Amino acid sequence: MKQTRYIARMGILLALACAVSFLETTLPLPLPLGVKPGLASIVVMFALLRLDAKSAWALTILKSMFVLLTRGVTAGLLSLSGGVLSLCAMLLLLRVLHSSLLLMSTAGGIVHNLGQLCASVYLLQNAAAFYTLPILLLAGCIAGIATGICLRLFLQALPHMHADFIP
Amino acid sequence: MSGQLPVFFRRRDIIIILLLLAGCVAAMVLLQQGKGKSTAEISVNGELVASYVLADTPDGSFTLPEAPGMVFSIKDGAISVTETDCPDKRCMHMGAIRKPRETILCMPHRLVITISATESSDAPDVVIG
Repeated sequence: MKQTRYIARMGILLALACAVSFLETTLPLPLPLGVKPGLASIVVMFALLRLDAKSAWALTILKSMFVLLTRGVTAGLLSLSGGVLSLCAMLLLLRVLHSSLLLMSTAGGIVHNLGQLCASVYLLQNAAAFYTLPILLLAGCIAGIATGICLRLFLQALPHMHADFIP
Repeated sequence: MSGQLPVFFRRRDIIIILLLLAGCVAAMVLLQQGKGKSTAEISVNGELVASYVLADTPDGSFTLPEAPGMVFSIKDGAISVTETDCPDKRCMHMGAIRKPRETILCMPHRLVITISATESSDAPDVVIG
């Protein structure tokens, strides 16, 4: 019973992450690399806090697989590199440095864009892409603050979804 | 993970976040400093395929054989991508660039447009002091 409930909840969270990630692609922001607010990271952070790190990893990787299937190899690789590095940074802040949720989310946003930029420099074979670093970090910082605030609302709105359901 | 969530926010977070924001803005401003003639350099797969001294290039549109499906435009000393066949049109949304080290990236075409400032021959690259 517990396991069924866990599978169902992970399914809902993954669907939500994929849906918001897709909706974001329709926003025409004047930022390099298709940088977006990263609303899917709200779902990953929610899983990290309310479920466990394993669930957050699963959501990050599966969401990148969704991007890979729907938007191609380049977008998939950027999504994966940003997502994995961002989750590493958030875990570090949360578990080792015991930081606040807002700071965790801000760092997640910044490191996400940093990871994407590193992957893009590798793909473009051109270090000139690093010139976009300051604007990407700024965008990541603002996005991280926004997703942190959304995360708080999300946590308050769903007080009953807890780690008790992990099999 | 225990049921208790970490605090949402501490007072010192404001300072850390403000410092981060200020650092990014300062880096953006400093990066685009530089005198001299702005030269637009277009690279595909890391190799320079075209470069234009923006002030000396007459206004107009052009295409490059290395970037099929893309149309570039130079107008009033700034370069932009005016047409592209990739689905996200990200490079078009970036608008026109003219300042040193401003950069347009196009992932589908593996293309980078960046502005380099060519200093006049006797001017030093960096002035320290």
